[in-house]
Amino acid sequence: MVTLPSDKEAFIAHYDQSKDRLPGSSLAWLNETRAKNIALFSDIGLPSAKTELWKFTSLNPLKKQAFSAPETSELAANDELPRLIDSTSSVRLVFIDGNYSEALSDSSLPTGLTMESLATVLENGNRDLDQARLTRPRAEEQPFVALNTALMADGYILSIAKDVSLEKTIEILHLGSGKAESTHHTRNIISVGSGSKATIIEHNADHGENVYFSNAATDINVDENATLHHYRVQESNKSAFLISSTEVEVGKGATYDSFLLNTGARLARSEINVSLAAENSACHLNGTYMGTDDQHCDITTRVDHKTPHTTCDEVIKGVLSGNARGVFQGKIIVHEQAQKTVGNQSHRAMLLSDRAEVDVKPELEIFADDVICSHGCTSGQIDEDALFYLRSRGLSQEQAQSLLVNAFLADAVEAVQNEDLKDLFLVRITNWLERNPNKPA
Amino acid sequence: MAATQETVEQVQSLEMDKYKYGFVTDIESEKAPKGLSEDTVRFISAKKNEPEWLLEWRLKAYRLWLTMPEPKWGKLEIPEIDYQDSYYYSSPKSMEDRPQSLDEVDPELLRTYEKLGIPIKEQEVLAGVAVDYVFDSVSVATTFREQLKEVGVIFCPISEAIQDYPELVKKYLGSVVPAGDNKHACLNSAVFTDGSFVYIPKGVRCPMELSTYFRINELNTGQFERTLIVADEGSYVSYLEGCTAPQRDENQLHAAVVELVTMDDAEIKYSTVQNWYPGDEDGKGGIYNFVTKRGICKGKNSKISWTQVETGSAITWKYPSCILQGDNSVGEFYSVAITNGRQQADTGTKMIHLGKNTTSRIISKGISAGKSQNTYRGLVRVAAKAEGARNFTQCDSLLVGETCGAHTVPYIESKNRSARLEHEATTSKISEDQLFYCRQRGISEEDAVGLVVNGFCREVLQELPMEFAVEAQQLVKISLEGSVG
Amino acid sequence: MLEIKNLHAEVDGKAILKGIDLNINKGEVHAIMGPNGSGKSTLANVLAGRDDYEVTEGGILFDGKDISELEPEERAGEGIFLAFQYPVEIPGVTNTTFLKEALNAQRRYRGEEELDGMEFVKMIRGKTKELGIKDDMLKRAVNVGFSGGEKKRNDILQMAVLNPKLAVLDETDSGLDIDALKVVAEGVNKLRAENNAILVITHYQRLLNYIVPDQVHVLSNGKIRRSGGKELALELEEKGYADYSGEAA
Repeated sequence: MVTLPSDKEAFIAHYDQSKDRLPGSSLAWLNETRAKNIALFSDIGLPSAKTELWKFTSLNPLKKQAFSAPETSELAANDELPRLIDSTSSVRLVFIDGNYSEALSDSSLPTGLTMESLATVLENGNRDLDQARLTRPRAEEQPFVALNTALMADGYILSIAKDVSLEKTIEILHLGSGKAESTHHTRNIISVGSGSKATIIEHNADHGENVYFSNAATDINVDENATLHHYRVQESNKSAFLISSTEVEVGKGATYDSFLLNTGARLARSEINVSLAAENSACHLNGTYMGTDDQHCDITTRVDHKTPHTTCDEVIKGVLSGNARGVFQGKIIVHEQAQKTVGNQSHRAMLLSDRAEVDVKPELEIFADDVICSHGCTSGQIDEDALFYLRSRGLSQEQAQSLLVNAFLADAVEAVQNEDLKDLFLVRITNWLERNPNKPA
Repeated sequence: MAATQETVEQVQSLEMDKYKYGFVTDIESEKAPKGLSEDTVRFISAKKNEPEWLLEWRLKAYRLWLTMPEPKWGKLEIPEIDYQDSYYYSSPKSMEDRPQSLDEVDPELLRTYEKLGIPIKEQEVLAGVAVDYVFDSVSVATTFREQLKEVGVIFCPISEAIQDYPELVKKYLGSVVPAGDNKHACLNSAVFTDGSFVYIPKGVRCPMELSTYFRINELNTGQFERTLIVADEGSYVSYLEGCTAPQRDENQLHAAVVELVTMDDAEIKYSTVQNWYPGDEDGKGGIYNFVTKRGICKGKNSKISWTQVETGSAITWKYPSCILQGDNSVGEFYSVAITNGRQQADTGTKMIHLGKNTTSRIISKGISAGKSQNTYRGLVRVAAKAEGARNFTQCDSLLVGETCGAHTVPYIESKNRSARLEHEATTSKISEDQLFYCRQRGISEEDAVGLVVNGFCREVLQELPMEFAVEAQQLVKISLEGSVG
Repeated sequence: MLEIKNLHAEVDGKAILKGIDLNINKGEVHAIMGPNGSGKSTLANVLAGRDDYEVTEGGILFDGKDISELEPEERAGEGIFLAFQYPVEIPGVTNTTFLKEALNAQRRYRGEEELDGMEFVKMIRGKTKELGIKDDMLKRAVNVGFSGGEKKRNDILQMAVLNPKLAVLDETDSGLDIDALKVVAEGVNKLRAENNAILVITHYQRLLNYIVPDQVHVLSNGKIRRSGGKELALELEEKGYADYSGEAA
């Protein structure tokens, strides 16, 4: 087992050591891509406090950590795996420590849905693999995407055919086995064919409390008049480091609808970049986050309105206690030709403790005149008057606080259209509050 | 003007030592040698007959400046500045050349005022404004000073204050904006030539609005004025600053520094109407307005309020800020920034909450027209100990025309849970319905734009002292001429 | 005073008015009624000269002068006033400022002396008194935070101050309860005079109970299908526009 400290050189060394063993090492184009990206990563380096996009998120805790490269993932018994949605109404794919587990995943997929593991595709030298999708240039310089491209070992390639309405929800479990302090770089591709509708829910969870570093990159295409509901429940253990970047291209008349429920990890950075480059394309980027102890949650979004008549909505709410820190960076860019754009964004944070911190940078960059754009941000503590009112009616301080925080967060969940999933999120918010009763100040 | 006479004599005496200082300049010349070097700094300091500590302070700043990078974080395209292609000191040619009265002010300047609907004389008579005119680098006329002296208010060119009130200047100069704050402020620290100094003693409410008009006159001259205002306990002052510059093909650099200090229960209201030459339609010429303005509410219950109407300059880079150190102190920023043609503005504020129960309010109205780019950039930071801090921010942008840009970049950082921060921003187009409504009532399209934009800015404009408000409204209208149709 | 001859107009390339003929003389009140989509509001906007409303044939003579090429503000200066179906809000601009700007712009257009501050205030106080409008309305921003009724009354105040030759009321009754409607009608009636004319555009007859027209015209599918006296309005109220739907199809 190789031990890796995680500064820039360590990652490069890791690449040098493992490049011949990475899946697809017989493919020339892939080797070239990997080499190019490690060079790019080497150029950019790890972000520092001076990197504008990482201004509020320090990687020092990550850099101090030593990781081991994953050897083989031990598989757990099927019944021990957490499942968000009943097997009658979902189809589940399972990744253990970043690697696809065929044995643990549901084998029969509904018509119109295909799924392949990236490792398998690369090993087989599959000529159908869309190379461009793996190498798509990003809107911003993203060192972790470059690193991911150099080191990607597995992931899912999901395709939904044209004009299919998937009844079943696709549940994707990313489970940490708890066996090793590993680092994994997963690469995912989602394609939703024109006129189709699908719901994907990703679930990050762990067995155990061990440190690991997951660096995921996901590339999503939602074709003409298609709708993708993409939900994420991030409940990794509080030692984990999770960095994910999602790149979304939304087609004409199509909608990308996402909701993130983030309660886990030591450091979780979720970056979503959406390109609205076709008329009447829309996106909803909603979410809630809850943090306590030393947790750090960073939600960074960027929406590029590139053509007329595109719409984006964003509602994010967060609650922080302990030493937790929340970061929201949201950029809306309206390009020159993108008239009739509607872009609305809101971020509301509640601080429950004296040491919690929230840093926010909403940003409007507008080059077209016929637009309606807005953002709103608030940060504050729990409403003392409401708290007193509830206590005067007999509720304990903790109950009253829990009730108010619950109400505050539940509001953000309203954006989720699927009632079952809405309930699932609400239950998780309630559970989190029960697990983390904030000590009265 | 005795002080100036002394300066000349002083410098003449220095000529003996010219070798020592390494400059060979005809002392009759009123310009420092072109370019920037330690010699330039020494020349300026010598011209001003400055004490040794100030020369040292300047030189230290100059040496630091050499090592500092240009600030790059603004959303601005700034051509590389050739610092050696500018003069850093210039004074009107001779005593006779200076305006002896306001009647002798450059007719071009007067025409601008006329266009604004306020002849300068009338403005003064009407408002009883004490005006300290800064023509290029040397303060040439200060009125009403005697009247102010009676109540103990000091209002004079900073070069005089350095001579007459050295302890006060030494205590506060650079205390709010240190020389190394940023490259432009650093340059100013090295080569500042003049500016205003105001001291309001304890318990005094300054009996009149204080006002300075800055104006860049000379070709190839940078202007580096430095303003320092100290409001002692329980005092109040309202200070107005207006800026104009005639048209020149070349770009001229204006790198000013303004420092404000308020003690317990004191208040400073600082208003700016900035109408520097914006350059022509193709973006040729115009002023680079790189200004560092910052105030510190040192005392409890003190207040600093910035109001700005920025319509001029080719490039504006300016963030009047407040450090809210005293408990219960209040910071305000009211801003109208209008860009047209090829102007670029990156302006906003920083509100740093340090004390308990500190409050800040930011109202920013940006209007972009033509091919211009207009950015609001702001920071609200609440330190861990700033119990009960409050901020309200409203940033609205209005777009006039299809080829301009409006950007909003706020940073909000809260380390205290009891802080309540609210930020709202909107961007929209000037409404066709509003324009048609106005036109149906008989108002021309251009006037309708002026009316609607003035309405959009009203919350800010009403913060200006009365005599400035009317001028500002006219300015808003004039700035948007040619932006529709 | 107003002569509309064979007026054709289109919006976004779509023909809406298809040959309207209409004469209105001084001192007269005309009503144009018609179903939704008949072109009523288009006619109002074409008369006021709104951009995007293109006259493709025919013309509009006002006091014998062809105004079809004039800008909206020039038509206002000539004496055409449009009371809007949805009066527009202008934040930050007080009613007083707005009225003064408008009145003096029109006076300049007509080569008349502008009113100074004092004269203007005196004049406007007289008008508010006459119409029973509280003076604090003058200090408020144009239509901002006004109720539907207040907005319409504000338009009537503007009409009183600007004293147009021809007032076009575009669905002024829409969204008003009966009390507000009466107040507005009362205001309009006070402004009726020998030298001016009023064109009331409405879907419903009820406004015409209070502003009694000399002539009623039925507009359908871009053309005036029938004209008559005030009794025609009552007939329409009873029978609806069904008789005209054939022509609309």
